[in-house]
Amino acid sequence: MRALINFFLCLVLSTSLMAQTYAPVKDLPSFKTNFAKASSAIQSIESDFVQVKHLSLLKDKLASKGKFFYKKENKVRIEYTSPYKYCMVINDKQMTVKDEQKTSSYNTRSNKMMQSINGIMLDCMRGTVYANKDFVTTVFENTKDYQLILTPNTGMMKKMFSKIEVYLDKKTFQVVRLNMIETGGDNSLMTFTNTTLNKTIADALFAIK
Amino acid sequence: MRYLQLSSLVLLLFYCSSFKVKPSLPEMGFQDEKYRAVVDVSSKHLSGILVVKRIDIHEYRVVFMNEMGVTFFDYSFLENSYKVNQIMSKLNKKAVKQTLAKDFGMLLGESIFRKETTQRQDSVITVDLQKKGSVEYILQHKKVKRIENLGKKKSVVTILPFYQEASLSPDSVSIQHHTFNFTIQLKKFQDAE
Repeated sequence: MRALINFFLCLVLSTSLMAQTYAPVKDLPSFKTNFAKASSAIQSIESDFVQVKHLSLLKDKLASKGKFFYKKENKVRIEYTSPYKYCMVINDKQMTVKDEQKTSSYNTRSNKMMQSINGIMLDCMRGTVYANKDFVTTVFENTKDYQLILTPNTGMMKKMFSKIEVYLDKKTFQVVRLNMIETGGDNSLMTFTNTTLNKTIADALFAIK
Repeated sequence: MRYLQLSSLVLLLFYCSSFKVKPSLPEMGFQDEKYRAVVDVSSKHLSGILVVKRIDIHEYRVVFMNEMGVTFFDYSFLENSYKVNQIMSKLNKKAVKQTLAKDFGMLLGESIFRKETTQRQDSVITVDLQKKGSVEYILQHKKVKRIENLGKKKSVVTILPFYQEASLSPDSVSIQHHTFNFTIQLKKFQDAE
């Protein structure tokens, strides 16, 4: 009887482990086509997010939350609302950052790091992440998600991140999690929830003054 | 026997009176704090999160990251030395690393001093730096009100920690350099969870 229970326990454990383990995607061309197709149908995204930064050596974590907005073709707003206020807007080649004291604008063309961050955000939304020359992308899957592993191949991104993991919902191809793993071992995990697609979002949201 | 007891008591009293208590650097009260940080250097403005964590009696860890979680720098402050665990390539310059170490070393009261030179006069504690210059801690109601890094003639850095009445650690801190345009402002916050 005990052996039987153990057997079933093992079975349950191994299936739940299998669900979490990612294997290389079986049909890459069809994944690419479907990802691009799903992304092209998206006009806008509005969603909540929670970000948890894990400080590996301090065994500490830092949580923040806020709202995320995307509007086709190249507008992104990431707004942290708690425990601090901070807003970052990408509008075409312009990036604006507003903290509690000041608003600063950058031309992403003249700032390589901003350009890279800008690029990855938009590429994930538009499903064009393969075309991003700053990273080498490999795709894995389990029963629920696709896992895209982006390994940086340019100097500065390589110094900062060992890899960036993007998790897409298998049905909708929506970004559900974004995990940025730093070379020093810390990581920041962003989890997106309450996602609404193709709602009208005013352009004014992408212009900070 | 009675004579022996008496003489040891006299000896003990004599020993205690000749033993001078060396002044020590003030306790700033940092344990595990998170600050909203704003850095203005020349015309550049930068904001982020600063984590200060006490690891041991004389050991602290200071990590500064941007809002998205990317680490700018990560220092360990030990009793008589410091270690840069991680620093972003743009900041990885000797002068920048030393300036940051001095500013936070002053704030924590560790790593950068020749502690044997510590002196106290009323409410001012003075200590020499391992490198040139000295630091003054000005106390008020047993808490540090102002920290001055003194150069040859005048103050080169002023740090103003602000404690609310019931706070053990500073609720806000302002670090102001007088020789070039560089300020750091910290404001404590609680976690979102």
